[in-house]
Amino acid sequence: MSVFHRAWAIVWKDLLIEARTKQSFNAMVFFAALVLFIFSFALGPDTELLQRVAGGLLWVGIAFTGLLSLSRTYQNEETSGGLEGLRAYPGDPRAIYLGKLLGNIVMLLLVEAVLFPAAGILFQANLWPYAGGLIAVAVLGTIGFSLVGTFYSALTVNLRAREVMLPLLLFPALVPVLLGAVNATTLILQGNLMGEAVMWLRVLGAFDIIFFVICIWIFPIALEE
Amino acid sequence: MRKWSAVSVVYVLALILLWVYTGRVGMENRGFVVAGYGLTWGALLWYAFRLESRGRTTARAVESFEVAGTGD
Amino acid sequence: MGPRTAVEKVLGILALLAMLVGSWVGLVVVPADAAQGNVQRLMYVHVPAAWLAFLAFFIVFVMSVLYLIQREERWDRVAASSAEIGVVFTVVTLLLGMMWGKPTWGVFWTWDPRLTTTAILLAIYVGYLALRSFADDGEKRARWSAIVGVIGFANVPIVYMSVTWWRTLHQPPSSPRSVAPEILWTLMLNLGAFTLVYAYLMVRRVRLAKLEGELERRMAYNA
Repeated sequence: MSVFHRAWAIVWKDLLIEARTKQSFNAMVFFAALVLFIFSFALGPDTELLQRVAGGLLWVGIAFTGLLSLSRTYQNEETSGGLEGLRAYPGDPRAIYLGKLLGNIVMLLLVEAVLFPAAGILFQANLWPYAGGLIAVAVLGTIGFSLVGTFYSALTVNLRAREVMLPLLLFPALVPVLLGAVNATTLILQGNLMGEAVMWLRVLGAFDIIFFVICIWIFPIALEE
Repeated sequence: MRKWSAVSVVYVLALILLWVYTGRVGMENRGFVVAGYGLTWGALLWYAFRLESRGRTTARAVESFEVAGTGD
Repeated sequence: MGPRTAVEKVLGILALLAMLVGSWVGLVVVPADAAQGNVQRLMYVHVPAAWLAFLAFFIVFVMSVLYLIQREERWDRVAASSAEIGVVFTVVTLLLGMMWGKPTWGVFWTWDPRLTTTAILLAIYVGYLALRSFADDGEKRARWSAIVGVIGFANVPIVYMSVTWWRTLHQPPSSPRSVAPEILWTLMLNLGAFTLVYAYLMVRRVRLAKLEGELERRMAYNA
């Protein structure tokens, strides 16, 4: 069974569990919307201001929501004692990483599919003309977030105080992703489709490629007994 | 412990000297300059002495286990 | 930790002397900068501290890679020691930057690339040290922190590039050619002094790490 087959099996299993229970998806969407809402209260009713910072608010919301879902990446296996089983599974442990990575990406993208329009409504911004660019940012940014997040999530799964350790390790590492995503989103919403926005998309793309290689390569070491 | 107190005294004296000197030559922003150098020296000295005291504590702990040996 | 070895004593004295001479030259001997005035004297400690902070973290990176390949405890000890000392130098760098920034730019903090990257570097290595403090098993601790050490450092150039694109306020790095010789020499002198301090602290810290390892072994044996 190839790495990809195995990875796909993991994704499928996790998404199936999720589809049946809808446990985390609902919670994530609600939490994300709540974060946006609270930011709006904190910043005040000045619509112009909200529109200017919409990109930043969106991605902070996505980051916190993503963090929530990340800490549960391996929970399905853990609670049923399955993490041991996963480890003992013959073949490449990288399949685990790939599978969990894809699962995280899909979940987060689904949440964003609801969140972006919600932001559009809350901040009175018309997003449709920029849909293409926004989708590009969302995909590249989410991949970057999930790459590092899935990795560190595995690293901290057996650690004490992991609720604190995961964000502590994750957020400094995510600075390029946040910068790239926020700036690209803001620029795209300003109608700057060529030029600077593309440059930030390139930063995101470079980050994604570099860290995909690094994380996939090192993952077996992280999962060692 | 005595060494640390002695060094602290010297350190404070040096800072005072520096403050007086910068005042004499009319250095502008002398507060920031003295604070900066003082901070640097202070941090490095503090860390060096922390290493020393950690070393003593750890050495004592190691000894205690040696004496306990295979008893218990 | 026991009496200091000969190497430690010599290094310590050299480091202290070099620092004394460096600070004396920087504060008293060298004339104030024509453009920036006396505040520029802070550069003689700020720049070396920054270079050593980065050197320390580079060493963490190298040692982490070595550990992941060879799995020998001594690489982990050196990595952990360098990280701790690196954090000290990084904090000093940031504080000195603030001391220089307030009179020069009027503010303690700005989001310019080098300051911001340094702050993020601090966050990465504080995370490294926190990870170590939460991992009880020696082998796991070494392995996990090595991974973080590698990823953390690999991220630094990317962080730096992104933040540079994002802001540009920090002075463009002055090339040695455009700087007066006395300033350059004083800088080099202090750089040497700081390097000696790093070396001295490293030798002591690594010895402490060895002792801590011994303590862990004995505690495990006696448990």
